[in-house]
Amino acid sequence: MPDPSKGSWTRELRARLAGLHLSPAREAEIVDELAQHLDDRYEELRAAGSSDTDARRLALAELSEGGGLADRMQALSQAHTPAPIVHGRSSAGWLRGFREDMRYAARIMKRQPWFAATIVVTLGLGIAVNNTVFTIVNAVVLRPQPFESADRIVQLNVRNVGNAQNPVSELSYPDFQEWQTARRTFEHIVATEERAVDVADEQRAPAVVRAAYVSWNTFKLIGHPPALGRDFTAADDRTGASPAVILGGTLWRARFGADPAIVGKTIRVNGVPSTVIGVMPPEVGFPDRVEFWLPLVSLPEAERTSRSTHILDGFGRLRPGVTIEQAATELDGITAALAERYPDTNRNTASFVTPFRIAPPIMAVLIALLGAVGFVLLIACANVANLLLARAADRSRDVTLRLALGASRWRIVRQLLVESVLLSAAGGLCGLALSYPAVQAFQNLPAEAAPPSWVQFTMDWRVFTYLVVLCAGSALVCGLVPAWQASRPNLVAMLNDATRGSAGSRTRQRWMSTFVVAQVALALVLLTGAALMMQNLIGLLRTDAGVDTSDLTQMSFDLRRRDYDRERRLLLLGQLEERLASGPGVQAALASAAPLDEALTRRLQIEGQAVATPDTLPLVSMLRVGQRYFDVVGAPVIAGRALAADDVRQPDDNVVINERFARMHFPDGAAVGKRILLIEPNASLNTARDVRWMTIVGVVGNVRQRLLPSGEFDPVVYTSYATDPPQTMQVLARASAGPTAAAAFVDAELRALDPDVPLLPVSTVDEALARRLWPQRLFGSMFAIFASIAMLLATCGLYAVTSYAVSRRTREIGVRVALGADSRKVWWAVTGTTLRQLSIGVVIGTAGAAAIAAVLPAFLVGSGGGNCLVLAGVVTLLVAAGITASTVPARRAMRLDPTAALQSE
Amino acid sequence: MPAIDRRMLDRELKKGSAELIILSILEPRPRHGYEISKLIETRSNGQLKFHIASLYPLLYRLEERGWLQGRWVEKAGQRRRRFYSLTAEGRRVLASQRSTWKAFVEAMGLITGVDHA
Repeated sequence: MPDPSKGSWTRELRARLAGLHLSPAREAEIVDELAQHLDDRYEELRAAGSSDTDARRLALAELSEGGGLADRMQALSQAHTPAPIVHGRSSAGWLRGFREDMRYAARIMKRQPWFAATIVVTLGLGIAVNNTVFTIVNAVVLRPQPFESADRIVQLNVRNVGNAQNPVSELSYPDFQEWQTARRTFEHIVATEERAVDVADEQRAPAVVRAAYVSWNTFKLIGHPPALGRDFTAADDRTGASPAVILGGTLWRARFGADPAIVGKTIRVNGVPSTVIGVMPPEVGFPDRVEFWLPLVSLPEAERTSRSTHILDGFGRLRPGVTIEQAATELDGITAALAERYPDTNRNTASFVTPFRIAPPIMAVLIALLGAVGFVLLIACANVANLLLARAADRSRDVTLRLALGASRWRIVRQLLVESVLLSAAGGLCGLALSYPAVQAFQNLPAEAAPPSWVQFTMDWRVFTYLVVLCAGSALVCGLVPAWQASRPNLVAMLNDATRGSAGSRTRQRWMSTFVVAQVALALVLLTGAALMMQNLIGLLRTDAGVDTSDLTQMSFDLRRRDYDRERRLLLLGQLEERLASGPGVQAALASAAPLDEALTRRLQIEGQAVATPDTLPLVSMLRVGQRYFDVVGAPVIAGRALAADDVRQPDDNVVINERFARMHFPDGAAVGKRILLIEPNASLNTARDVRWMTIVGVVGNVRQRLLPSGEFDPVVYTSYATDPPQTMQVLARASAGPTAAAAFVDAELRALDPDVPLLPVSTVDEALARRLWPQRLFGSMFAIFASIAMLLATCGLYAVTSYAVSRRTREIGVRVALGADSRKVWWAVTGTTLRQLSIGVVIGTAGAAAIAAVLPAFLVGSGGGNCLVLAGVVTLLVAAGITASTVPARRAMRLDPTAALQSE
Repeated sequence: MPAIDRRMLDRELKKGSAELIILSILEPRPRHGYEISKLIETRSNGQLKFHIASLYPLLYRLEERGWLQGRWVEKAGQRRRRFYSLTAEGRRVLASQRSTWKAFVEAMGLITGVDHA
């Protein structure tokens, strides 16, 4: 008999016996025996002259005769009697035991679908928030950046020695060039400057696009060549080279219809005809989310020649084996040499080399978020543990029987753990499904909140590993105590049906209380954190600008792009100011920054006051404004006068200060007429250029520029824009017909002066503030969502535990009612326990919340006081929710019919 | 002798004649399944055939009743085989079934006038 047949006999026989549910051992015996019979029969048929195929066919046909094998065996008692699950039996082998446990657990889940669904959803919520946050952390921190040798790419900045206020700054073009020629430890050093540019061509309307001026070897540093055309070469980045640009893949599709013939064509960039030499793949947006690249040499000449213009972000790729310290040492040597040669601009500077990764503030937020979602999962686990504990009580008789029949305790624990593993695996799947849309939402963040293009919020093997670890961890955390509890019932008491008041039941109650207390405490900490953040956000959004900003429209225009020099800027600003004055129903003024939109800062020296070191001088905000600024924003003149037309046109160093400035530095009220010196934060006192004493001519009402941690207005000094015409200017306007009318008027006037200078995004000051606060809004909302889930879970947990307690105490309550206890006593009997658990949880949670309240303000901008109020509010909310949760079961207890209650078991 | 109608045989099996056949075959010594089926075929001159699908369920049923006992026997150089032998109970049942069958066949002969072999 050919050997291959035997395998097929076995398969055939197993298939026919499958429906009988024989025990595996018995099935194996029968298969063995019948296969031998078929072997013999086959040989016989072959000997009689049948072909191989015929012999096989005939032998198999006999299996089906008379209704077939399985039919005839149906009546046997060994069929339909699967090996009973005998707990404690160890000979069956680990794997088979595990399979049995899985089957058993699945049966239990099927029998109590709502119970299982509650657990799966609870764990699903907890796992979903963790999975979402971890996906973000993974994308931002853990996943290697998609650059060539990403671990050797570093960021290069300048450290300002001895300037704590502004410790790190960007590079100047001349310094960058020195670094680039002197380097030995780097394969590449590149510099970038992100800036919007106007792109225009014959066929399409002009557009403003996000662009970056980059060193010619930038794409070599990251290891991404253009998908189409060629990369920049050193020749493209030399003075006098014909302008070349590279398009981003997305822009190429959106604006040029993915036309492959675009390479070699000429387009106008900021009015300059430039040749498109290449197209990048759409996923490349280095250094951030850029869709257009120009060589560094295309920067305006003034910015390329000044050593005090620090605008470039430096990046480098270390040679293999070189450490960051070695690189920093090399650059420090170059920096020191530069400081000697150019003391005015380069003294007190050192190089600053860091690995290229996301900024530390975001890291802190991400860690906080991971902590918060960890809390949510712990609360969910505590909830599930309580549900399983309650169920363990219901199943204690079953367990007791098994223990009495000789099952080992480990066997019982294992079986219950398998149940919680199955539940948490289902919870994991549910969590995965829930977190998917959340992660998608992150992928579609608005532009101002979107991360660099190389950060992709997608799930990879790290996320799935984390998910598996979460599931396993949850299964252990929520399953271990109930399983351990269930496996040690009091045998005698249980079999005597004396379940109430037994030691096991008391321990179980203690565990349940512990879990509830833990839930309340964790939820309180989380709610407090979230409430503080939301309070901070609301406070920021309601920041008092000092003047009415609700209908104050802000818009800006950028003169850098047109390569306007100082005189041209001054001319344009003067003409624009005149034109704006003529608007019917519109009041408009120029300023270097809108209210609440930051401002340049300067160190302040007051004439006649002794100075120790420049770093100890106070910081003030500095605004360059036009003549009508104070009228338009509505800042009243309190002393002296505002800036007059003469101050603006022929700047004779007259300045106006705000009330806060006057109070801080001239408390005697005699500010007008005093002289001050404004020093750039990085410049040293004696070498500062433009040392010009300025005279205070007036004091105006407070208008907030910067948000100070103290919540106070910042001291502001106003100079004429003519002292140093800014390259980007804000227009602030109020129109009786609304912001759109104001914008249309300003746009028309600007176009009349230079049609190629577009007006950039228009919004009210309040809207701009809300947009700038996206981190607070985004992360604040996330914390709020997590805290809400935490509170919901904790409340459900309290409800479930109280409900369970009532159901266990039905008889006791029945006796009380029968003996004449009034409803208030019954109420107290039920809610008393809940209140006790709630109080302990609140006390423990308050300690944690106080710690959060103490730490959190350090991470928040402009946080006010009122933390105690927030804490009190959160405690009230949680206690109210807890009492509400216990009310339903308590009412049920009060309405108990004593007769029915006494018969209940 | 015409071939026995298979459906009729099935009924007979149910009635218990098949049990008698098996018990008789195993009376002298233990045999394995294939040997049993071959013996039935040769001793009935090919008139009776117990195929795999009917034989083994029957063997298992008799085993469950305690009339037979199956044992795996390993011989050097051969595959192990399951041999069935009569239990004491099996022998008692065989004796009783034989006499019942004998009486039945005699009665049938008297009534129908069919000579038994």
